[in-house]
Amino acid sequence: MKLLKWCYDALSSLWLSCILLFDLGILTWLGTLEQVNTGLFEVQKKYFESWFFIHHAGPIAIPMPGATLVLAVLAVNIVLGGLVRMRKSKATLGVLITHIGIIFLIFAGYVKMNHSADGHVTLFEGQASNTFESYHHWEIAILEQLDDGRLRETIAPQGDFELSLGATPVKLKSNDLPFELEIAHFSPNARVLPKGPMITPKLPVVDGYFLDAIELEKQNEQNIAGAYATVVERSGGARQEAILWGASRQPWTVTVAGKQYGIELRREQFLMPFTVALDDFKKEDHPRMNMPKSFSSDVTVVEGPTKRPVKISMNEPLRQDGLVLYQASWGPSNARPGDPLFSTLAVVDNPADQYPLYACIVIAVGLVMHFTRKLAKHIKSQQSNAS
Amino acid sequence: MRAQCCAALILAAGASSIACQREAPSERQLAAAKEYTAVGRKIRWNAPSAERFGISSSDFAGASKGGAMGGAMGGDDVGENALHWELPSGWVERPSAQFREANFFVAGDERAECYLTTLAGEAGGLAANVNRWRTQVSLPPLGEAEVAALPKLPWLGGQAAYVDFEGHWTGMSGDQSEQGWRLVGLLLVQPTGSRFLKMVGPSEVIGREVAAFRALAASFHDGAGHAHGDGAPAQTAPPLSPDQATQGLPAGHPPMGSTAKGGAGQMKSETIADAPAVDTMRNASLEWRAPQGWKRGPEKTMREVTYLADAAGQVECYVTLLGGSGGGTLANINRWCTQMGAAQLTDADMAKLEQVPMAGAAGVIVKLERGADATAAAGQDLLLGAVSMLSERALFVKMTGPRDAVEAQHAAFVEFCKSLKAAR
Repeated sequence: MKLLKWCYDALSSLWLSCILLFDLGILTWLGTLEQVNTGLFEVQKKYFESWFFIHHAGPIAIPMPGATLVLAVLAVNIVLGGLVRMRKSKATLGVLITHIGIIFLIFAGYVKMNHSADGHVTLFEGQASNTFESYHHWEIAILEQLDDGRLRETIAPQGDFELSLGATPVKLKSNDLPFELEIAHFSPNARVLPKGPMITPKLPVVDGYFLDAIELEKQNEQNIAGAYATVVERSGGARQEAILWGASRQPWTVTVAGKQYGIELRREQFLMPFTVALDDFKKEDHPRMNMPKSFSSDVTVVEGPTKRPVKISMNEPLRQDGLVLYQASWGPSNARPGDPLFSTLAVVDNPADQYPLYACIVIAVGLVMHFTRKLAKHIKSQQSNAS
Repeated sequence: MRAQCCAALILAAGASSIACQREAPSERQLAAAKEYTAVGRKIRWNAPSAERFGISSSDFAGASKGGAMGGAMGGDDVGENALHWELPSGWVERPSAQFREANFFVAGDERAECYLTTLAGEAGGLAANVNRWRTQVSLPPLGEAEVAALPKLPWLGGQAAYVDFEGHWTGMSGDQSEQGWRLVGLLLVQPTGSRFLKMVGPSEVIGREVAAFRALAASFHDGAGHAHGDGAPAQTAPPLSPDQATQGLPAGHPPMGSTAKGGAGQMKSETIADAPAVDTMRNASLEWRAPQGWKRGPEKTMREVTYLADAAGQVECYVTLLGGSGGGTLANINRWCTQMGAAQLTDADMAKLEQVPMAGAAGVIVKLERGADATAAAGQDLLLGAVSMLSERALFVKMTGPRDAVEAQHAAFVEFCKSLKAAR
């Protein structure tokens, strides 16, 4: 009981609040500095989406709590210290509301981190898609073409195979498949090279090609993952090998038990509840320059039998079925007049999209109430002093 | 104090958790499959590795003499499927490079080059590649219908589009600037893999080497003696004959390797001596027909185009286009009179000059003989000039040279002037 009280006192203390807020400041500072050497994605992952991490200050390795842990403890601290333990009265109503707003803000962060997806859909004029793909995460998809034209996909998320860095494979199994898929030599950034007579590859040569692991790019989205895959048939144990590469144009096709399967390593894909077709992409340059002044995409949103034209421009996203599609970029960057251009629409699927706004309103209301009361009290005391 | 202890506990827990490194699992159970309609996705099952990776083995492998390793199309293997060719006379073979399966210097000028590129799939499609090449020679893109109407020729087992462009060469990356360059190419775009044979260089050089380009294109075959990709024995696919060269071309299109330009650049055109017919040339401003036997002369500033009208190259004819009235018809003709040492003309003399329709307006033709006070260069004994005032521009055609030679070209000169018209 004593221990419980001790924990309660510690977790609800103002001292802990101060330490956690200070720690958040330090994390922000270190994370900002780290971006000199590392890309934004890696920094976010290491400093802000982690429970713990090791910060290297020169030769010294310092274990530190990540922002996820700090914010989790801060949420507990505010609930216990700022709501449960706090005196409830008219005088503290504004502060209580503010604390609720802060907790809601932390909750929005939690939802964003764990239950949101973001990526992009990139289309040339005339193209359409009902999926968007992640900028950062990979997956292995096992495809089957169904008779009705649809695809059946069995997905292995990156977490299932990203640690199979060496020759020892990880086995991916599914009850729906007549084979196991073994993944080995996963590399987060690799290129495929043909085996030439003067080349001695470090990794196995398959069908005249081998995977060449290369240094990670600073910007994570520029990395192209690769791995060696082996299909092992359940009946008979026959093996088929191939290289899977993130930039492959077509899946590797294997035939097992008379049935054809496609296997590919690709950016994580998300299905949208509607189809976006790019009708027209407009780019307006500054006079006598190649620098774009504005660019926008005229798209048709197809949802079932319904079609509607929408213009997506830089400050006017499309919001539909919980997804937000922003005009993000275009390309190719080295395109010259007359070259066909593609439009990239950033897609965000975040259930907590509007939560920060609501949280800020709640916090603002609480602060206005609190400081209005304080101001009134101050004026009153000034008046009584004067009289 | 309690808070500090708590923070210390958190840090200690963190340190211990970091110490426990994650290990690769030996196996994973995958989640249930999902079924959906993949909009806009075209899967090509059984695509070979080269197509999947978009890399031909020969992009990296060193080329052997007279052959590079095939591999990007149709799952070809090395060995007897290695690609071979007949090197045209005077051409120099270069090592293959990335995206250059076969790589050559064209005879006559080391700036002129020719290379074969193999890419997986349709490589963006025919129109995109044609227009990419047009952009490289500063030409506007062709529409879908125009691309579809490009002449087709049998090559490597398929029907390749043949292009012949001329203009201001800006290079692959837009960082070059070469006036009067010409690009001749074959584009074989197929879902199973695409091949591109491209020759580019100064117009004079390319004009001379078009026949060699044609012969080279037809000579590609694999080590087993098969025309690469079509399975036909090499002996059944000899270099394209003139008949073959016209086979499949749209009506009015000259034979492959003749002077036709699928849309010229800045008034770039040329007539090949062996062309049986004269074709319409055009640039952004004008269209015209070069009389038979005229050959393209060197480019000069202020001139839209220059021709050498006789075999000896002594008769020069060129076209100039100026803004506004360019000083007026009479003033310009009198300037020519001064150059030739002839008497100045009056308005009354102008009314007597031969008239000819030029570019939608009435032009006048003047014939001036060299006088004693001529300032023109030696050898310019006779001048034929034509002036036409267009709506916002003035069009001038001038021919000079030895008297008899110019006289002999008089009719051709008039026809040339008549053929000029504003570009569509």
